[in-house]
Amino acid sequence: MGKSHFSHHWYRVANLKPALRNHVEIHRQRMRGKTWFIIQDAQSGKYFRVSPATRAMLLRLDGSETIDTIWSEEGQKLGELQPTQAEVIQLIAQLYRADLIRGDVPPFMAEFIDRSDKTARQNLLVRYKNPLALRFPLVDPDSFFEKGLPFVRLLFSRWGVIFWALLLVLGSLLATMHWGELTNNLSDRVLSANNVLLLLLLYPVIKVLHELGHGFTVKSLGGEVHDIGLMLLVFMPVPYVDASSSAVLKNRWHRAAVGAAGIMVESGLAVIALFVWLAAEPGIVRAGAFNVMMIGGLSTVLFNGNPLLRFDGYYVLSDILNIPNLGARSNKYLLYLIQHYLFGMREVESVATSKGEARWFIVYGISAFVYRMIIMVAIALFVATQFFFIGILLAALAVLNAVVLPLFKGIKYLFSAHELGQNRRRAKLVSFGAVATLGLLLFVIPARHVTESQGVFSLGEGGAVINTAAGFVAELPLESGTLVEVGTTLLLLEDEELDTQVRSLGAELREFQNSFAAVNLFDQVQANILKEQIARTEATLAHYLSRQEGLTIKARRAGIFILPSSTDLLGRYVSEGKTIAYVVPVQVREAQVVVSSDRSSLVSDDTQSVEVRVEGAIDQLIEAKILRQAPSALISLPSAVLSSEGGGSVAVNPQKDGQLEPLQKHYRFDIELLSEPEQAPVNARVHVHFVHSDKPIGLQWIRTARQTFMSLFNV
Amino acid sequence: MSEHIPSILDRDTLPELVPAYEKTRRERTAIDALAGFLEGRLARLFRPIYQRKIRGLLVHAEAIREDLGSLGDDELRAQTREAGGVLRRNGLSDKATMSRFLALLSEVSTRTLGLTPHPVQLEGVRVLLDGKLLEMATGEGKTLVAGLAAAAAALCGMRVHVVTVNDYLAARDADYIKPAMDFLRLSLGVVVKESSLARRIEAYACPVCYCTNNELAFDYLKDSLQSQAQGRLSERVFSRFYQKSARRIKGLEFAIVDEADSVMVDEARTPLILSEGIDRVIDDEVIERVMVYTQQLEPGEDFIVDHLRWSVVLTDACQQKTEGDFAQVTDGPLLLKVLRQELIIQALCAHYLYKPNEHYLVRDEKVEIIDEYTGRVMPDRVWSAGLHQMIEYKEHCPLTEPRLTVARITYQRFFRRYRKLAGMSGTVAEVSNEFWNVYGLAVYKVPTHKPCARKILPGQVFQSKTQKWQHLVRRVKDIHNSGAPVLIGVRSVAAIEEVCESLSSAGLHFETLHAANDEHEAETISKAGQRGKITVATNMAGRGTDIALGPGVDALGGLHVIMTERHDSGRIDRQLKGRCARQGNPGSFEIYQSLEDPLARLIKPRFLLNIARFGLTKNASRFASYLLAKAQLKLERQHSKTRESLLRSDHSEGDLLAFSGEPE
Repeated sequence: MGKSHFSHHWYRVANLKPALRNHVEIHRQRMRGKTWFIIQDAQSGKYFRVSPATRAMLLRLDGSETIDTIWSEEGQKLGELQPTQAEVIQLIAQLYRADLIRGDVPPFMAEFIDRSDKTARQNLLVRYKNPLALRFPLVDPDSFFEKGLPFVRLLFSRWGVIFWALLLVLGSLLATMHWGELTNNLSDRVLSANNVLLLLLLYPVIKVLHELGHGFTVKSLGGEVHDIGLMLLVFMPVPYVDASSSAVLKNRWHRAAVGAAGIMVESGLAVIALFVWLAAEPGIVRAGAFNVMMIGGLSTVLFNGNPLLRFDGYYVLSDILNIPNLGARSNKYLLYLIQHYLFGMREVESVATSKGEARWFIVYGISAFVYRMIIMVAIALFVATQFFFIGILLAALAVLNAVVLPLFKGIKYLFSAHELGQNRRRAKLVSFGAVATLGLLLFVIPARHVTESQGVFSLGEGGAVINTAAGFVAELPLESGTLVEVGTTLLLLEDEELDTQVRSLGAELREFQNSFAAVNLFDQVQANILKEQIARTEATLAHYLSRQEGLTIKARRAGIFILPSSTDLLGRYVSEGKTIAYVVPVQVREAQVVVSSDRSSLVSDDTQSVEVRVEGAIDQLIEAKILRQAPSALISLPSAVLSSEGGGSVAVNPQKDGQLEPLQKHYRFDIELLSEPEQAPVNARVHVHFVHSDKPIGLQWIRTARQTFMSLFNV
Repeated sequence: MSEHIPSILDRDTLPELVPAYEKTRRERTAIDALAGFLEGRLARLFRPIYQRKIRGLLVHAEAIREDLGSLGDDELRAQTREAGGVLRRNGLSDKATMSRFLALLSEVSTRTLGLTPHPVQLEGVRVLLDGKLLEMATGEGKTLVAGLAAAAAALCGMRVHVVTVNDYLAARDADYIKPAMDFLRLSLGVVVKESSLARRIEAYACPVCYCTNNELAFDYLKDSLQSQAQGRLSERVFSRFYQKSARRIKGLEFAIVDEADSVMVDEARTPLILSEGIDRVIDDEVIERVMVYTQQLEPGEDFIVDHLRWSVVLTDACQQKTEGDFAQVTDGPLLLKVLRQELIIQALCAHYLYKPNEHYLVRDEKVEIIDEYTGRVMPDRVWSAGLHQMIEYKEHCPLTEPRLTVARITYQRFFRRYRKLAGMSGTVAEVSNEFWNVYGLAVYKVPTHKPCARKILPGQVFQSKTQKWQHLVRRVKDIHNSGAPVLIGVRSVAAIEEVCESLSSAGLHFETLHAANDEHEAETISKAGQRGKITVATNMAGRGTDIALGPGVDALGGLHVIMTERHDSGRIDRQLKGRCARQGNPGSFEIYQSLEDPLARLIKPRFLLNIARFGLTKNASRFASYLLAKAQLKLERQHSKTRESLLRSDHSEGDLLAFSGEPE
């Protein structure tokens, strides 16, 4: 049926004559071109935003007229916009619950008590459902702020803002000048043990100043502060101030200023700390200053100033945009979009009062949700790496709050929500259809499954010309760049000592042989000794001869002979085992690819094809095949090109300078290209896709997540 | 002023400070609901033990009764009253006294009513005293059970309301049990529609009061309205000094609801509304304008009639069209978009959903609502939000003034306020869960005293109504020729006219019983079991109607009941079935349906209907009959949903409206 003008229960309210309580104040505010009225309940510190039509009705609630009269008379004035009876009942009930009106009949106490019990229970639940942000209200600081204000009034005025702006400009200039010093080895300095202690000591102090900033700003702009207390934010005690009375301020910039005051205080402190840091000698003062900068600058930017989280930045944004309650209404608006367009519930009304608002709702709602999810996962994972069980508990709780409960609520809504009515079928169809489609896409329809990695072209086997015997370069028969066959002499070394050795050994051998011939017939004992000596000398000679042979270096495969330093090589001593030159294949076809350990088994077990792109000709796709796999993890990368410093993707251990030891385990795969690349300089980077058999995307994700989880927790 | 102050000693006219005993309301949380659910399951589990316990009592009672025959009347009365007193002190779990008490009651019944209760009836009495829902097959003598249970409860010190579905039954049942009550010196009150205020106050104050659910709930509503009018607490405290009218109902202690499923389930779908004065929001001009306007809207194109939800849905196109058509309106109710649409929908309902002689009767230029469950006229009932006036306009009756609601209550809320609640019915199986969840009533089924001799003949399904009537007439003729009486159950007054036409043209003589000629109800019923009688009745001849068989009818196979279409609920069907073969008598029942019955409209998707039609041409009616049963089930489920949502909205609105003072 949708909405109805009449309510069955109208008779119960029609003849009531409620009156607005005395302490209720109404403030006018303009938002996005519309007038609104803020109803302030000074006793409970609650605020309600109502439309002018509602306000007109409220003002007539003075105990002399019945609701029925007010409704019908105001309705006459409003014409088409007359609220329905149900809406009026809702309004009066809300006002009554908020204690803004008193009635002329005693309320039904049983119901009242039931409800107050329920609210108390809910408050308790809300408090403990999110152990990452427990609140403990402590005192009413209004008189403190009242008395303190004269001393700091100048700071919380226009002049204060100008001063702050100047400070900030100066600070950012100085910071850019000293950027290198400031950021050098940041993580080490921040997370070292004694610094953490300092950080813990300074943090609450700065936060207290932050909250004072809020408090004084509200006071100086004419608001009130009635609640100050402690909050356990991720188990860290942090003070908080209830500055919600800023809601009644007329000027939106004033409201924004209240929200921004904390950030401004912190950033101001950070700049002052920068001055100290620059001026002070190394020591405790300097370290303290550095920490103040850290807290005031970094945490402000990441958390407090970030409008996507429900901290100060959010309230500033919502005040500047003039959209109160941005977060909750964004969610409601998104829900409305679903209900209205997907479920076909035409009677659901949009929470957006203007077009601009709607746009903000969409942008904010989606980005805040995504960001919140990321932060949630990040915090949980971070805590879990430190304290496994607490982290897992927290993560479970977070997942419960963010995924399971909403899901459960959603399902419950679909099956039993009253308002769905005739749209239930369609709502179910759309929801389950969407879930089914998603499931199908993720878990049923196979998708390309690829391991991406990088590698470098290698010369392949026998590509490097390695010196096998030490010697001086005697002759370079070939020019660099000549084509050579297998066995072509590439260069000749000489080693005169070796030659001499060979000669003398030869003489020695001859001597032994002659002696042997002489004694052989009569002195058997002597002959045997000589025989032994001959054999030994022959062996030694053979060894030296082979070394001499090694001085003539021959090509082990066909290709282009490349001599890196041809001019000064002649006559130089070359030690054994050194690469003197290269024989580069006419076509480079081999590449060495590094694959991280979590994918290596996948690559070696299930690779259907290998696709290679060469840097410099990235649009050319070349098929390849795996030649071999190194069985042990890499000790060092085959080339600096692959390290993150060299522009690659593998992080190397910075403490082992020049060794290119990967931080995480990697394995080497050698691949051979099946066709010729356009250009293939040695050591050029190749991008390699190992294509596995197709697998649904969801399963791929699960595999990746499992691998990540296992490597994070070493389980 | 002084003459208005009644004497302090005049206790009867003194209003009480605590107006009446009522169960305190308690908020049901999820845990309560779960516990309740488990309790229900456990109770079901332990039912055999409970049953054994009670049967044990009865064996005892039987033995005791043997010796009571020799007691004098005064002695019997004294002992019975005394046993009641002992039970009042010791509680109902006092086995020895209870079995003695049951035996004494049984003896009282024998002496005063000439009827000795069967063991199953005594079992029923005991179960009712425990506040349970007694399921007893139709025609097993529930009236006696209720009467004895009421007497027993009254002797145990409770004020008992025996709630029946209509005035006729209230008066009849009270008359029936009166000798026993008189014997026990228990005063018996009866409240029917015509009872005056003084009589009502008197009747409700009696230890046992027979009344109808309607009168009872309305009287309660009026009482609470009256105490509400006293407003402030201070006024309430001193109200005894200037308040003149006394409460009608002294307290909600114990109710025995006869035909519990009808009262507590079927009727619970519509709340009771007490209205007075005139509501001027919608005047005649608006009604006329909307009715005229809606005549030109096309079904299917501008709106869709939803029979299942009993509503009309406007299409988007039509909503835009009305927007344009009413653009020039500058004031009045039609200016408001929400109200305008609501009125248009109401008007369309008046045009297309509500049918004369089916949902209402037009008598003396007045529109009277026919209750769909009992088939009776509800003369005081009106539809709300302009619908009644629209139907009056449609039927060219003078428009009555719309009335202003002053109090409202649902049966769910009302009956849950009783300290102890018990119910009886022959048809509760389908709704036993609802009884437990809503009223906390557990079902206890007693077997029939004698095995049931009802013959159920295979039903038939026809393509069209005409075919159905033709076959019906032929069948009635056959039975009539054999001499057995026939009861033809039809659904609406309109259908009666069709049946009558067919029967008359076949030359058959018959009696009719329906909302439009309810003056001769008792007479018609008393004759319906006579040899050779043909009676056509709506479900007025359903619940509580006891059709006594005439001499010699037994041998002819008893009363033959033909149902001519399924009703909204299977329970009504079974009630009609229950008119034959009562108390071990023979009887037979069969059902004639057609694919043009209103229920067939609920069959979706439509092609199933074509399959069923095709089946019928091949003489296979199984599928068609299945579809109709399915449609009935669908409707029942929809009604159950409506009741559930009514209860839920009652709860949530109560929560919301707590500020407006105590609900009635």
